Amino acid sequence: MKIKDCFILSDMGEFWVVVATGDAVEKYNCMITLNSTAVTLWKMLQKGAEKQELVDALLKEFNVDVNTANEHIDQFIAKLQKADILE
Amino acid sequence: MIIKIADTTFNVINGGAELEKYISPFKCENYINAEFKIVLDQSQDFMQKRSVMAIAITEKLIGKNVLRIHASSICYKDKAIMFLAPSGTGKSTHASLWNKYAGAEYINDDQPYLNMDTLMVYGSMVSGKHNRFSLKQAKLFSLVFISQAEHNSIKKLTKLESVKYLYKQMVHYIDLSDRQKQLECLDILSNLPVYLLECDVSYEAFLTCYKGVFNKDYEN
Repeated sequence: MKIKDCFILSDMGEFWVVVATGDAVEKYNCMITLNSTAVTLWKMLQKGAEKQELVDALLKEFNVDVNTANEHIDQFIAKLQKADILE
Repeated sequence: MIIKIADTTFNVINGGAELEKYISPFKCENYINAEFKIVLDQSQDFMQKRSVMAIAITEKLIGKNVLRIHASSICYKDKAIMFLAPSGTGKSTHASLWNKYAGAEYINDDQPYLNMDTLMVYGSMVSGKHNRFSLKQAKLFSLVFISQAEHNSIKKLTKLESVKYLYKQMVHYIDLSDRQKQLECLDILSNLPVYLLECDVSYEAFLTCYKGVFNKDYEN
């Protein structure tokens, strides 16, 4: 899975935001805010990652169990798919 | 004629009598050279020249990290406050309450310039339908989003709320096509105190805003 190349990520201190750039601005005329868990997933998906890699990363970086990590990742990916953000 | 806007000098050439009168409040006496030259087309009328000049000034200032913001900005006790809202919501009307009740001066009622490095707010002669502006400049103290209501209340927005409000309105407020720069501005502005004021048009609306922004009651 990989996020389309038309997004830029910016650190706002307490959280991160994502916006579209270039020609994609018209289609994605919105701003996405990300917390620290989501930004970890976002950064990996910008490069391209499989679900198991995402699960491993959350388990390593955050104090969560496998079920919670899976649940969060499924929800996050579903949101990205719904918004047509994945390639 | 050489004028100074946002600490930047412009030599406006071929302006003609009407435009020169229009820009004369910002005229720099005794200047021979300016940082930028704006050469207008003599065959154009006042309105066309004014528009070309305003765009040229804004473009040159972007290069110095000075942005034109669509807001009504006042100066109260050397502090600049910007009122933000979609056109027709009442940012000018609310600014006029500060002028009426507290003697606040207009910096620019519609399109002030903001230096993103120093946060200084500057006026220009392009100032909306009421033509309210001055040579006053002041450091930006806070931003207030105006929302029409039948009651008066103010709340300080969290950084997340501020970013969302600023972003939603940014398309109206900041002339920027560079997204990275837009996000930098969003970060800088959302670190300032940002408020949401729900208000009517009354003395009480001013008092509510004052109390929110300065964290104390207004004393006449």
